[in-house]
Amino acid sequence: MPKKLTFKTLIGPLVALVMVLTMLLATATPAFADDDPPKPIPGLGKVSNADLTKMYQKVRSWYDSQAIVIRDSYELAAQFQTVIDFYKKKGRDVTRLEVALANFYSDINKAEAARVYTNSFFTRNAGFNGFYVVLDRQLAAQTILDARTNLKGTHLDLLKAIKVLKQEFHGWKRWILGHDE
Amino acid sequence: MSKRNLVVLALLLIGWFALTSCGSGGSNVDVTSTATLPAPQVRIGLLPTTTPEPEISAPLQESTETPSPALQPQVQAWPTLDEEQYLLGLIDSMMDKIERRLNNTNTEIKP
Repeated sequence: MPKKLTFKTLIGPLVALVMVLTMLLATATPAFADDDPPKPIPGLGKVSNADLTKMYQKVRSWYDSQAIVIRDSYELAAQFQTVIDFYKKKGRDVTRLEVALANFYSDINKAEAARVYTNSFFTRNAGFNGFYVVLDRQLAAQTILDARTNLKGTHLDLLKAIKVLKQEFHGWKRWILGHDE
Repeated sequence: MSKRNLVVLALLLIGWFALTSCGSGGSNVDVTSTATLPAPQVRIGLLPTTTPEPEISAPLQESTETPSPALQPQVQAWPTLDEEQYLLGLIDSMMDKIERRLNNTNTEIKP
């Protein structure tokens, strides 16, 4: 005769089922959540894992901002071309603007290539998991340092490019306004 | 507790976990950077400068007299938006915007 099913016989498998489901549905927990004293890392000094996460988010935010600058620069270049065409139609000399625009295009193309390269660090995400949690301190620090180096270089290049373009544009504008008089 | 009740309880528990797992789709959310709106593209050819003057059909007169100049209606023009000034100003503002964003970027990453 089969054994009668009672609550006592079922409670064990039920508890096991709950435990298995809980483990399956649980989100990843930080590996070093409770053990996070600041330790020295070459190039970054004494930083905790939480600090590394914050720094990673900062470089990521910087990257996003730089991507917007590059996009705006392309829009500026297109508008610059409109100005060149406008004055060309009027028979004005726009050689200075054309040279400035060609240089600016060259600069932003370089910046775009650098942006793609920097993006590869975030794609690889070495040292972190998908939730900005540090998995390997050395690798995480290297990711941050590499991304920062590239972002800084591109930042300075873009700053220089926009300053030169501005200078050339204002110089030409002064000349053309004086020329009109 | 009867066998039937236990089976119902087990089914309810399994159902509840299934629903919970369906709802926890947080990690699958596709996070993409939101692009800001592009700068307005103004078609230069469409910039309003003046309102077109209405065509006035002069009556045909066969006379040898010198016709007096026809009275032109006073058309109030749109507020003049000088195309040249607009273009130059737009370039200036775009360059300023980029420069400002670059200067305001926080390049210090240490917390």
